[in-house]
Amino acid sequence: MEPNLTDKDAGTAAARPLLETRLERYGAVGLILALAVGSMLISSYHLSLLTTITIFAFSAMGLNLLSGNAGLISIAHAAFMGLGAFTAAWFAIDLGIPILIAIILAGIVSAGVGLLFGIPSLRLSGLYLILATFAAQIILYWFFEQALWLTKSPDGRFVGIPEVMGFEFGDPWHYYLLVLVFTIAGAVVYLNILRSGLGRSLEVIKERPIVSQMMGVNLQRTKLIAFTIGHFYAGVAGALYGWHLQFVATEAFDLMGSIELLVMIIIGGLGSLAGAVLGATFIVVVPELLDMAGRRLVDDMGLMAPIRMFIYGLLVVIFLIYEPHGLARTWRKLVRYFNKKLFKNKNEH
Amino acid sequence: MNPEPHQNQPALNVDGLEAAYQDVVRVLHNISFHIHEQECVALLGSNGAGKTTTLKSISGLLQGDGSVTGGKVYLHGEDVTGKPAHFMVPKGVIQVLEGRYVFPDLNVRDNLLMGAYTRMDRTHIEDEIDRIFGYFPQLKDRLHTKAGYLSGGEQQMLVIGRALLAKPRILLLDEPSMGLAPKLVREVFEIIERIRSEENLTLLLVEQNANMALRLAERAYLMETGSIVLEGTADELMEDPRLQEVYLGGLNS
Repeated sequence: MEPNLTDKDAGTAAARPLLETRLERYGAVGLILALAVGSMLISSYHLSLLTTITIFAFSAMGLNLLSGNAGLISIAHAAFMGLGAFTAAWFAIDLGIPILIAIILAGIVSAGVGLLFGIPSLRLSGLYLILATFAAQIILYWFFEQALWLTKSPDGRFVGIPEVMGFEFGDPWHYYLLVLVFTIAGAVVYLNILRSGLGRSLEVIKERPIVSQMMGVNLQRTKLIAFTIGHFYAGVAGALYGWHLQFVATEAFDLMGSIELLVMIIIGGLGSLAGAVLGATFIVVVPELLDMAGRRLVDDMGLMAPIRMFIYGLLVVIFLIYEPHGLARTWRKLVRYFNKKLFKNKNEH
Repeated sequence: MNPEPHQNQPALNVDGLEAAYQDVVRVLHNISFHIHEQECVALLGSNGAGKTTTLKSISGLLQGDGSVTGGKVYLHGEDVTGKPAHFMVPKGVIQVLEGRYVFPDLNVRDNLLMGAYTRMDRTHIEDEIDRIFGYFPQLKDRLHTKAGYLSGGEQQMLVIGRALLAKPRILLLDEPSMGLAPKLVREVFEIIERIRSEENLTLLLVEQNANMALRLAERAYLMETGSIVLEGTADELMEDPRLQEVYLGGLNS
């Protein structure tokens, strides 16, 4: 990012390592290996779920930066994913740009549009900002239905099997590995932002906008950077999602999608990487589990379908009552507990 | 300290300042005053006199809901009228807001570090934190406590310490006594006095506690409904019956 900004870690808790404890470091390596190898072994249905989770974790990181860290609540994140999905398809298929570049370009387009919507929102906060992002959601969705040069049909467009430099991602496992690489890169960038001066300024403008300015934080620039980076993540995630399903469905990027993304980071935990990952896992897995339970318990899905959403909502509410700081905190408690058990007295640094 | 081009040029010169909120509500009328290098000047006045607005128009915090509509602000001779805070902070103009606004979720150390946000010279920051603990030994014991859990007095000390880490040349202090017990008020003022002499600070102090402020300041200006109505040395104002009138009732009533 901007070197003169990220370099300012005078404002941060001096040079914190990327992963703080040994368990986190071993855990991260272990998790990546387990995902890379394990994804080869599981069924295609589970692999598809895993890919979806990974893509949404990536997207949720961007939203968490914007809404969790900087406190700029957005209910348009899915629309920006859609923008990324459609522009990536347009770049790759209509213009013949290589897919990897198209994905990055889609991120840049989404970041640019996010920046544009961010400018009029600069003076807004709280409920008014939510309304402004609501407008962005409506406008973008309307645009998807109208701009047929981009979207081909109001319902969306087929994008086919992705191909990078002559290599076809026909095997979903290969595509999963591509998504995983993107997500790991996104996670490293996200963690780095959090421990940089930029990350600290995002945190303080949320808590105390005026005092932050008094400390020399450029409030408007910091907000615009948050809009830009957050929506870059959305655009890239959208592009990845399009090729995952091989069809970019306009419907997937409606208001409900945006709210689900917001619920992800609230349930997962605001402002942390673990929050984005755990929240995405929760939101993707729970409805599937409910479906599965529904099939086991009652064969008639007609009966299960209406109460499925009810149970889903109920779970979300119960969750927020008992762990209002999100799964990430539950996770941290577990990590601290195991860290003590496993690395007793050895964790000196 | 940079050498001054003109020895007699004031550190801060405010000339005919006018300010308004939302372009409608005019709150400052033709405010003019100056502060010399290493001088302490107090702005006195009752609620709503425009003291805080004056500070904010200087430090650049007015942007957003208000703006400077007329007049000039000169910092060491340079025109800085209407410049934003992130421009003024590196210039050494630091405001301590009234109301002890710490970052509640950050610990004491991180709060202090936030003061150094715009600083490029980072090598001495640890030493400077130690020096600040020399003024506020209480804070040292609470280094890793979340600032939200500090007492009011400690929070006031923290925000002053945080401002010091920004390397102020002119410190704008807004109501450091607000909401503190009389004993704490004295303590805070003693520390400010000490900091002032040891750091060679130029100080613009806004206070309702005129008594305390006039003991610290060399000169003072008295504001009423957006205008300066009285000025003089601290001793002169201390004796002036009009000061009491302003606090107890209007000048013209």
